[in-house]
Amino acid sequence: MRANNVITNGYYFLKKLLLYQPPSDPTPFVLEEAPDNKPSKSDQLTGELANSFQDLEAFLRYAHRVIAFLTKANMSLSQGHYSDKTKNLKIEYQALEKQQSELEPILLAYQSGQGVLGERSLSTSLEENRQIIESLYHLPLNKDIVIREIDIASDPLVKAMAIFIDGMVDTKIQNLAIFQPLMLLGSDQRRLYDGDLVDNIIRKYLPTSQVQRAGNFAKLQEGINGGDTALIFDGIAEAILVNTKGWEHRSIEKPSTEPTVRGSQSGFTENLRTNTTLIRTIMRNSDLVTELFKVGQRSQTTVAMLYIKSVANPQLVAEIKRRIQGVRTDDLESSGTLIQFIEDHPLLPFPQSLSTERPDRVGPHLSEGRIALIADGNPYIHILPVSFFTFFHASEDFSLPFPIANFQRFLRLFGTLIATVLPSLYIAISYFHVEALPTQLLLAIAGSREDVPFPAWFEVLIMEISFELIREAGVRVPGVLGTTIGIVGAIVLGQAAISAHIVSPAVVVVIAITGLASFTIPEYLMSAAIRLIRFSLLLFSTYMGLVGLATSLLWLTVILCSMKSFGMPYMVPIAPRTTAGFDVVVRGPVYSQKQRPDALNTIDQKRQPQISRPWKKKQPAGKEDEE
Amino acid sequence: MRFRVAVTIMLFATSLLITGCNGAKELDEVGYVLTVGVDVAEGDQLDFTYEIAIPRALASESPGKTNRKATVTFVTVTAPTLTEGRNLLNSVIARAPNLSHVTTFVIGEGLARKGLADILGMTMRLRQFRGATDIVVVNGKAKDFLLQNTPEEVLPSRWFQSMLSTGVETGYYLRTSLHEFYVRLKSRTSAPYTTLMAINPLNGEGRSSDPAVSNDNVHDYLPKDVPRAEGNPATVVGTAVFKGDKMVGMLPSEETRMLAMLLGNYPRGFMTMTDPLAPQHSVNVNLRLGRKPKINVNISGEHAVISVNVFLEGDLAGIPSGINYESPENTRLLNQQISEIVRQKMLLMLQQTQEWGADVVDFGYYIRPKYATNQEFENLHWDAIYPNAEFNVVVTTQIQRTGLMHKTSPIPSEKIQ
Amino acid sequence: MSYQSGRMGTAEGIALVFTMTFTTIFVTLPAELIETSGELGWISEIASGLSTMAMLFLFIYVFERFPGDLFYVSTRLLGKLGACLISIYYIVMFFSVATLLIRDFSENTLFAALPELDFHLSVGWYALSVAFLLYFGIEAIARAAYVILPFSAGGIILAFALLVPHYKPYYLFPWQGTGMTNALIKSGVLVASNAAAPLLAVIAKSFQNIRVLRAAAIFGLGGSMLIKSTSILILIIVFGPSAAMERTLPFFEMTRLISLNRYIQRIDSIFIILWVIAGIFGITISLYMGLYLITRLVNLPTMKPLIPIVTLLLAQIAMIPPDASSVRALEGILVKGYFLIGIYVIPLLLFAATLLNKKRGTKCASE
Repeated sequence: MRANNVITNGYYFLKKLLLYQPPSDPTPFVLEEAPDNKPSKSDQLTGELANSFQDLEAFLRYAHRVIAFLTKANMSLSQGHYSDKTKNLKIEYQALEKQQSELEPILLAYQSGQGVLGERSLSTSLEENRQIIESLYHLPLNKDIVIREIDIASDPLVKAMAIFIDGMVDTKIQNLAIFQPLMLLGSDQRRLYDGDLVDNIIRKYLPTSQVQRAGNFAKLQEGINGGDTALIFDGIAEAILVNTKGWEHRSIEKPSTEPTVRGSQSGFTENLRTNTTLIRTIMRNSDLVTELFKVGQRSQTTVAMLYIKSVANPQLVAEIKRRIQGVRTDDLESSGTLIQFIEDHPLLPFPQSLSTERPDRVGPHLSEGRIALIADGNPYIHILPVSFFTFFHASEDFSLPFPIANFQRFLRLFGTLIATVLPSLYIAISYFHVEALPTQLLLAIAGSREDVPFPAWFEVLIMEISFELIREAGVRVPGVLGTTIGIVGAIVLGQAAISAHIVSPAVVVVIAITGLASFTIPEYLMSAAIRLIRFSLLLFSTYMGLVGLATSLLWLTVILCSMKSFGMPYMVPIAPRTTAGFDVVVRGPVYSQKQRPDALNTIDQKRQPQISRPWKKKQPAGKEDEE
Repeated sequence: MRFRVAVTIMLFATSLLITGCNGAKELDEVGYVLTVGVDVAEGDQLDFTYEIAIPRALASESPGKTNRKATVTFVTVTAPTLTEGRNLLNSVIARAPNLSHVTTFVIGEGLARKGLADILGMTMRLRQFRGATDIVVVNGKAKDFLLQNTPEEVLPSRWFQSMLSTGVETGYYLRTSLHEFYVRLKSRTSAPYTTLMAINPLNGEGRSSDPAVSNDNVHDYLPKDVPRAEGNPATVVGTAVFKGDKMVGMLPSEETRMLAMLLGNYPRGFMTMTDPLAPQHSVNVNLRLGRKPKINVNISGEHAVISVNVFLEGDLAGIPSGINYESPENTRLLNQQISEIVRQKMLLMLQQTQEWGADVVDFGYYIRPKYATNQEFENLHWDAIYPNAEFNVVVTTQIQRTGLMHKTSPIPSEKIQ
Repeated sequence: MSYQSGRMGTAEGIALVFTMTFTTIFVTLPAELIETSGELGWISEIASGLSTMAMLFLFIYVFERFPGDLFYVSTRLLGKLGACLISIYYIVMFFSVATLLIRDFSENTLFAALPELDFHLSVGWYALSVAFLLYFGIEAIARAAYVILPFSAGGIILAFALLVPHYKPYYLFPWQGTGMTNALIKSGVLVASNAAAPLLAVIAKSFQNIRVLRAAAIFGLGGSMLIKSTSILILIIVFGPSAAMERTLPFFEMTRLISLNRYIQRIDSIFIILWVIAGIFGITISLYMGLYLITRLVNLPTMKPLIPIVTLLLAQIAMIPPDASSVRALEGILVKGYFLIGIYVIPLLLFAATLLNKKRGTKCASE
């Protein structure tokens, strides 16, 4: 205790005035090591004590119910209403009996020993079910889940509970199809408890298109998490899952990454059902099969696999199914992640499946015998298996006339070649094989290089990296600004670099042509792979000139030839040689596509009869009138 | 563990990569030699003149304003061999000399007469010299020629290339590459030849051999003797003929044209002759070979009979006399005249080569099918047979087109004085 | 490494044989052939090709009777010892082909492409590329060879076409050169320029069926035969026989001559890509055959651990001869002597054994 006189007060006052005291903030938050495994709830004990605590609670609630029942029975019997009330009482009594059987110690021990709450089957008591659901969904902490208790008009009264996630359900459908018929449009006279309650309600009183029955909590959770409304009834150990999916999603827009001139303009969205619908509108075939899988432990993402059963190779289908079902992970981010889980060579940069945003591309590939994979939440569909040459086909190749489409294809292949090889060729020739350049060109380049202090490979490297930076920047910056930055950056950078004598004009031209050529590759992943390859080719040719370039091209070819895309060799139909069909490098006329690609080993090889245009063989219309 | 293995492998690979740059030279670290001139010097040495490009002058940003004078520089060194000369060149220019862009070899007359075997041996073995390089001989010294040659082109080497490729416009000179020279040298029968160039004195006087053939109005010139007055003094006309590797003679312009015809390499060329019907005027024709000449060689013992069939076609280029040569009889007259003139000139040329003992046209090439095995062919002494060979030359000419006029009407007699 | 039968098709078979045998265009062999037979040198290749094809057909006859690869067949026909000897012979043959190719191509690279490259680095580079490629297996290598086939054949034909201004057809006369026997026998049949053709026999089980083998023999060997004799033909036409036989690298010299106008000149550097790829393929395939035979002989489960060791060893051996003339001498001994056993003697031996076997008619009960 300090003395309370003038001197000490004055002293302490001066001290407080003059001395600097740092503000007394609490210590900042540091993310410490997470506690071991089990999430500890403040209101739940761990270990065996928790289980026995829960069992005791269950017993307690049962005891309360029995007491309530006894009170009610006593009251009604003493009042003397026999006939109908006895029936209700009997039903209630039977329900209580069932609940008692559930509370057998062995069963309880088994259920608590299981640990996983989700595996438990529903109990006949509404209250028990509610308890379990509250602990599963961490209610009342979790504000997304809504539990709505309703009374269904019937004789006797059916107590029910609707559980759904707010935001994921379409409230209109809920009100019209579930609550209205059950609550308003019923009558007191119907006897729902006769026979199978759930069956009665499903068949007669739920005017919705899709319902399911759920017997355990796992299925119930799946349904609720997927946007269904769960109906649990008192006295029945089953629940109804009503499809009321109706969350906000993007509508069908133009495909953002695959613009075309003459193709269709609708693109896939994030919703799985919309995507399958789009494909179905293009392929209106009964043989088109959609198989659904759930991938990811925590995310439970739906993955759909579509194929035409009468065409696709059944072994391929079985293998893909096996691979998808063998993926063990917590969450699946996108279809791209899924593909990396199941493809043959995830470490190589070359894509082994075609990812597209357009349904009009998926349709023809499906009819060729390929398989489409859709992941919920991602608008990119993957088509597999594909060969290397598929990546150079644009989506509207078949919409355009024969010479134009082929000219564009050659242009693309030429562009790919240039994009891969041009900088390396420039470096190799200017360092090691100067005699290959015409003299005047050589002297012009040499003269312009005199002002540049850097070696040629360094110039090429700087320009390449800055080009990649510009490209990356153009992708990340949104909207109109992106393209402007790209153009401005490229021009200004190039021009300024030349005037500052950092690079020579020849190198700028080379890099610009290379960059432009790499934009002609239709598939984004393939062009990314080519960009990567270009750097390694550059390294080889800086070191050993054209010998290095030749060696690296050879390595590249051998690596490509050894790759397989889901069982189909990557470079088919060139290596190994199979019947090409008329659509590898050059595209044949649309009436000549008689065979499906041989390498897919489909069930049915023919896709057009011998004569695809029978009108050619017959008389033209209008001639019958003449003599 | 895999990461460590990968890192180890990459370290090994990197240590391989840094062993050196394997001879990579930046474009501006190299001095590009565009033309090499070789002359005789005292002792057993040779004078080498190198024309080296200055790239900076060619890289100016605004086209067309390149300063022509400063695009090349010349260096002369004296050394015993080509390679030693290159060594000395390295001591003169700062950059590393690179001879892979040499387009022309310019040989001085003195060295040509002395013998080219030494030089050729080296050019065939070293990687820097290619068979596709052109080879020319100049009257006088190569050094003087290179220094006095001031063309209107940006690069003097460009002048050489364009010049040599346009020889086919007239047939007055032919183009040879090192490869062809060498092949002709090594074959048993043929004689090498090169283009002939010289620095013209530019005094406006010329010296020609008189037309040795009647009715021929064209003068035969050697490059030094072409009557010129202004401009770049370098003149290209004629052929230097070698026997073995030594130069033995020079063919002037018209005889070179005959040689071109016999070699089958004569697509265009104007020719002038006296008008058969009006001898005071001349007629101009644009001649070309209709098809390659048919050459047949027959050997009996030591005597060879060579029969040559030449087919010429032509267009009328000018008829100053106004006589209607488009009509069939007159055309026939003209054809005969041309054939006779060409035939006689060819015989003259062939006789000249026979005197030298050099089979420039390579008639020996046409004997090859008559032998079955190499051994028989080796027994043939073409050097002895050729000087005594007999020639039968038949020339057929056909004037086909008459140009823009199809009929010449005569000038009215009142106007002629 | 499983010994199951493979499913390589005609295209890969043709590509393998073609790529393996046409690498001799790029070395000095054509010049040596012209030296021996003069103007008729081009027929030597055809003679050599036809005789090798005949021998390959003998092999195919044997394989029709006894399906399997070379090792299995020779075990059945000639017993363990015979199979051992044959395998060892072929191992040595393939390895020496590979070593000679490594040495030849490294020297070619030094001479024609990168004059200031270090010799050890050049040999090491080829060895490294080959070792990397061998890990991918013969299927990938054969497929890549098939992919590259039209480009290499097309490139060579393009080179020939660009040389048209230099043609002098009469250099082919006197057409008999130094004599027919010289051309056909001394430089044709008795020079093993298609030494590696028996690779079809070594990996016969990897192909689908006998028809593939036959097609590979006819088209692969036939195609390379045609290209090789055309190249010798063009060489004679362009250079004349006396100048042609002096050249160390005939094909390279031909490409150096190409000069059409101011721009299409000096493009021999572009053809470097062509022969480097052909060389690396040649070395890879012959190494693979040798390694395959080793694993069959000693019954190893896989080939992969052997690859770096053998490549390193062969690279070192390739560096042993001190100069180019000793390499020429060594090549002469091998190509004119040792390889001939593999091409002529062994197929005849197996063929005779097959005939005898059929005549005796003793077949095992477990056949």
